[in-house]
Amino acid sequence: MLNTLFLLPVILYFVASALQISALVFKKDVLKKLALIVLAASVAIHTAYIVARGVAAGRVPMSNQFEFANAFAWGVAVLGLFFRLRYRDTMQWMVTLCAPIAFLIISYAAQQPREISELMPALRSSWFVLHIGSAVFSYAGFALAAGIGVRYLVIEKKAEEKTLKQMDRLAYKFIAFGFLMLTVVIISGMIWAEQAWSTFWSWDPKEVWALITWIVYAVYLHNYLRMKWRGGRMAWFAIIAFIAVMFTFVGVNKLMSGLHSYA
Amino acid sequence: MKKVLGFLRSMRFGMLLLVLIALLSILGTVIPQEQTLEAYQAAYGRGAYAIMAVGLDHLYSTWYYIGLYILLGVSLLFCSVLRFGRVKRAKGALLQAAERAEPLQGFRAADPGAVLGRHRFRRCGEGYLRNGLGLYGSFITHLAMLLMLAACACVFALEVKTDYAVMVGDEVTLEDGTVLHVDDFAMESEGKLDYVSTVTAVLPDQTVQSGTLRVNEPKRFGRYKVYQQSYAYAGQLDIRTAADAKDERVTLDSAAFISLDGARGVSYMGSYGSYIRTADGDVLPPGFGDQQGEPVDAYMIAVLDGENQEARLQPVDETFEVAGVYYTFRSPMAYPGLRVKTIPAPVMPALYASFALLLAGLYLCFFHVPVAASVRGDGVALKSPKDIEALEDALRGQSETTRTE
Repeated sequence: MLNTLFLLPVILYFVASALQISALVFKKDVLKKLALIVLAASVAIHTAYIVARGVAAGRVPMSNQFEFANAFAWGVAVLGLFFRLRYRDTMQWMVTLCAPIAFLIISYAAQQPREISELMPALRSSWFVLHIGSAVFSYAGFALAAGIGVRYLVIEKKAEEKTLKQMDRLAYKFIAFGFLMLTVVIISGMIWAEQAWSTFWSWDPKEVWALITWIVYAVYLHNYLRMKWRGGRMAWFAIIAFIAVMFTFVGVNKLMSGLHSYA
Repeated sequence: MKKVLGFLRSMRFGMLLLVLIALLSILGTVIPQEQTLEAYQAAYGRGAYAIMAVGLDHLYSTWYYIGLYILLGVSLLFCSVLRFGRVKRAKGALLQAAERAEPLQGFRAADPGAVLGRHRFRRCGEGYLRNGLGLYGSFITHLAMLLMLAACACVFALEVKTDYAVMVGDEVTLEDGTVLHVDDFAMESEGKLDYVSTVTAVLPDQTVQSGTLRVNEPKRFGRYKVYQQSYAYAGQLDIRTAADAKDERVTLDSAAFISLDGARGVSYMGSYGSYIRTADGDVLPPGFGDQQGEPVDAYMIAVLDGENQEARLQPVDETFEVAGVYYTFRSPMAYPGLRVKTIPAPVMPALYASFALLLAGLYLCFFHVPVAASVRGDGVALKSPKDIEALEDALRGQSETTRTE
């Protein structure tokens, strides 16, 4: 039952992506509307899956690669859908971004072991939800900013100045949001580590890569806010910076061992 | 001197330091830390000597890595505390800039002040201000970073941690005379794997406190914070000097030779976990051949009896005799590893304050955009250090509504 519920959003994110891309190719508004409806349905079912898995596990389901990737995909879809509905006139293209990104991430999740396991004692903490939950939204913000960067570069030559400016600003907002959330991740992680391992910081690879990611986006934000960098180079910046996010999430777990190896 | 100060407080210097810290940190995650020379030789050949020579084996405690953080602290000091005067004047400067700014095109209202009020502008002297706190976001963020660096430096320099392995029923006396007594230790709680120590502390003033320690739940006893850090198993051995004598329990937490005469006795080498006792009474490792049987705890021992020396696996609850002494090993006993930590009192509140300030500062920086407005007849002029196109569009829209009304 849970497996079926998981496979539904995988398929629906793909269908939403296909519909939205078809809408762009064939210039049919009805396909766009359909893509939005499918995306909304997918988010609803995905939410139901996360709740059902949480009930079955007796905890918040965000403790291993599968669960985190699954929540990450959900975060991307929720953020994208929120912006699409909140700014319905100017952000119709948001579905073009969030549906394929959510599909790619949930596809990665689908390749991970899905068994529900008991939380190890160190993870049984009230900090767990804040630490991992903020990571989900932080990564989702960075993923959407990178997606906007890709779109910016694709349409840069033919789009109006106003559209480009709007995308530039939106990428900044997603990164600012992601950065604030990443700061919450690091701070809550430090407080939690002090309670569990008696030390705020252990120079564990995951911790160090979270710091590196934080620095990369701090540089982005300084350049945006103080140096007034805009346009193509900031789009490239958002894309390249996202590599640091993905390495922190996947690379560290696959290539390095440390205190976060279970994640 | 002016040039040096200018460079130290420049954003470029701060960015340079952050990038250097990030690059070195990457190196620290690629090269495994705190390994032996042999391990580096196996991985990097002759490069191992270079790694050791420049300290890449303990990168995070090298002078140059720590030095970067000190320089970052200096940079933060210059761009926060020493710019306080400019921050204090920021509100006035923004209002003045709004007075000099071009009026917002497309905005006309009979009562511009009322329209601004609907957009959360507040009267401030001659002008209007929205999200005035946002002007201090950058200052608060940098100040918080500075405070955090200082507090973290104090934590690393001043905290004292000591690990104790304490058997259940035993106690340990800390530096100031506080006595920690381990009353109980369990590795299960409510049917789940857990590590739970019940500890009673007698403080120097003879106050008695007790508490339960779990992995995520350290307890404070006087000036100490005590953590459930680890666990281990100790062997248990009952010894009788005669067949009808009373057993005496010995706890073994490391290799030992147990003997009455110093020559003949039992050499204890360690607990070997669960083995399988076959139907023939043999004790074999689990999965050895196709043997089936009941699991049984076993120890690796050597029996030294004069000329005879025999190393063997000894199952628990079986009594054997060596030189007139009766030995019975019992199931191993789990005991906790406790970590006792002290930090000078003001450090922790300062660190937590820096966390709160940092989050507040970042929020103000990104999501509390300050805008000053100056009313000119039926128009307004806006000024902000950030992009405010959305607000300008909203005000133009409001202006139309006002005209319709």
